[in-house]
Amino acid sequence: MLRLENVTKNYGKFTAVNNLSLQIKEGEIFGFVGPNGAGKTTTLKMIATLLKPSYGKIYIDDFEITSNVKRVRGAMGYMPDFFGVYDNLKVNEYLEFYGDVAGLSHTERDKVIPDLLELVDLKHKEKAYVDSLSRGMKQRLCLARSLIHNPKLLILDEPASGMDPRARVQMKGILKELRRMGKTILISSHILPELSELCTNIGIIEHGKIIECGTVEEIMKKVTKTNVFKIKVLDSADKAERLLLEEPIISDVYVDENHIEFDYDGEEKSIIPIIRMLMNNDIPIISFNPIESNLEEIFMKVTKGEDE
Amino acid sequence: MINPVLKKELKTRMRTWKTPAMISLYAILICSLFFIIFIESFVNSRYGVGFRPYSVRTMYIVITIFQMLLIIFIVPAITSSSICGERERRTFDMLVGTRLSSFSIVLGKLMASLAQIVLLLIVSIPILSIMFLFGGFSPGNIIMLFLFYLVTAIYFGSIGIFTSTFFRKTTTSTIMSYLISLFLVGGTIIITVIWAEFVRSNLYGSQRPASFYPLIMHFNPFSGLSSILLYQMGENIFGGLLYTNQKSVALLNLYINVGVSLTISFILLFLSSLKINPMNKFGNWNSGKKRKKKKTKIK
Ligand SMILES: Nc1ncnc2c1ncn2[C@@H]1O[C@H](COP(=O)(O)OP(=O)(O)OP(=O)(O)O)[C@@H](O)[C@H]1O
Ligand SMILES: [Mg+2]
Repeated sequence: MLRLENVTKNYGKFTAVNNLSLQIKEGEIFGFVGPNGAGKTTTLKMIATLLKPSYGKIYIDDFEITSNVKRVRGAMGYMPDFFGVYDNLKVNEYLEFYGDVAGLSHTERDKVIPDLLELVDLKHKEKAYVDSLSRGMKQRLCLARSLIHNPKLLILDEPASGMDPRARVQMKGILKELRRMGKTILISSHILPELSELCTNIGIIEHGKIIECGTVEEIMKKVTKTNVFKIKVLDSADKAERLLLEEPIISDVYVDENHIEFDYDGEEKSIIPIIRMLMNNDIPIISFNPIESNLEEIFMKVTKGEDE
Repeated sequence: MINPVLKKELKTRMRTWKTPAMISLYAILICSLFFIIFIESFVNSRYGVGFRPYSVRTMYIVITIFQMLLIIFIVPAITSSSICGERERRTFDMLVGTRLSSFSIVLGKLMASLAQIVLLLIVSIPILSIMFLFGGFSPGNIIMLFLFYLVTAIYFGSIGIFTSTFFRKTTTSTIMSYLISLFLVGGTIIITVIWAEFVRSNLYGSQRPASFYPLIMHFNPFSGLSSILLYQMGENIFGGLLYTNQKSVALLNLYINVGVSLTISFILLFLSSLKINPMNKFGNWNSGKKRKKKKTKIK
């Protein structure tokens, strides 16, 4: 669907994106993560045909983008990180304008606009002036705008930045809906926990280079070597601790009243005999679950955190 | 299908207070001028109150020149923010990133400004048509004049659009487009005057060249206007400064002027469309020396 081959972008002497290669398959939701100034926006702008790569090639559906600009723009919707709206224009007129600009006929346009407004929950604001909308509403409107020509690929640059928690949840809901519709989405964000829930794949970028890339599970595995498991017992926590420490694959056990956390090596399924062993020893387990190290932790571990 | 940029611009521009304010101001200025000349030449005249064809001609010429000056003054103001305005409002990326061609974007912006000028011209029709009452004019005169005004609006509009693509800030763009306009209108005349002095001082006796029309004047829209007025009224508004012995093609200077204006407009619009196209073949000009981003983010 989308392929970047050794893409480099120089601003004068400064290299913002450095020899970056990446592949995104149809239907994937690719989370693009990195600290400020890592080169996320620059990369997304190059994909959106708004910046020309200094070196390297980008392909969308096997079409090289700089020589197939019109076709590529028709297949892709882009939502910038910072954007403005026109004065003296109403919400429906705003979408009509971008529909016209995308080359839709009036009938096509008038058919999709109500659906889009429904999707982003702005039906009630249809006749409001766009500059009177709240920031979150503008962001949703901009998302609707990027969808107007029904693109297969969506490039979203921090779509939830500056939104309050409720608006974020709403945005996440919309993105899930889009995923259901089968769109391929490339989304950059610094709200990492949200990405882990939404994305199928993650790429971590720093100083213009991809430093980790893969499915969400792969990334987790790569970065966290030991697994953490948590159980809650009704009582006999001390006994459980003793039993757990005897197991060879368990390295550490922490007890906090009735909560027990332990690190173990090996695959996920090696936890099964341990739980069986605890049950056989009459430990009253009331809950057990693995602790997934979240993306935030991974992110902090992987990137050095220098803000360029 | 109508250019979408034009459609949107017309909609948004008509909703501001600026457009009606501009039209009213324009009408007031033209009317005031009309009455000043009217009173000066018919009422306060030392020949007594009355009608003289000669004064009507003067009135026509003065109003024509005044209207031209107004257009030249207004057009840069409404075009020089067209592209930088998009940049400053941060709608630029979303516009150039669409399937609309860069040239259509530039053309849409120009046409929206022309539409405003057409409005102004329509407003002035009733005033000009008062002169029909005195006779000696045909609607053809006005049509020819208005078409030339439009060409001039395209010419100066293209300059405004050009500066708005090459300068990032609206203020810089506006200043630059006014400087260029000022040069084309005033600068060329000053150069011509100096050149005329030079020619005269190098001549012996009282001989005078058969024709004096420096090339640079063809870049000045008043060259075309003076050609129209010479044709319609038999009056050379440049007096003894500029003259030709060209008699075979009466409106030759008008044709040259129109040709020059439209050619320059096309070149400027084409360059502008290249400049705003991030994928243009000549690479991204000055992408290296863009200002460092300064942005505040809410996180
Ligand atoms: N037009 C430009 N001219 C010069 N340098 C630029 C330009 N745009 C971006 N940069 C630089 O390129 C680097 C990458 O910027 P970019 O905006 O891609 O980062 P980002 O990952 O999107 O960061 P953020 O999380 O803050 O949005 C930064 O160091 C920035 O200063
Ligand atoms: Mg960014």
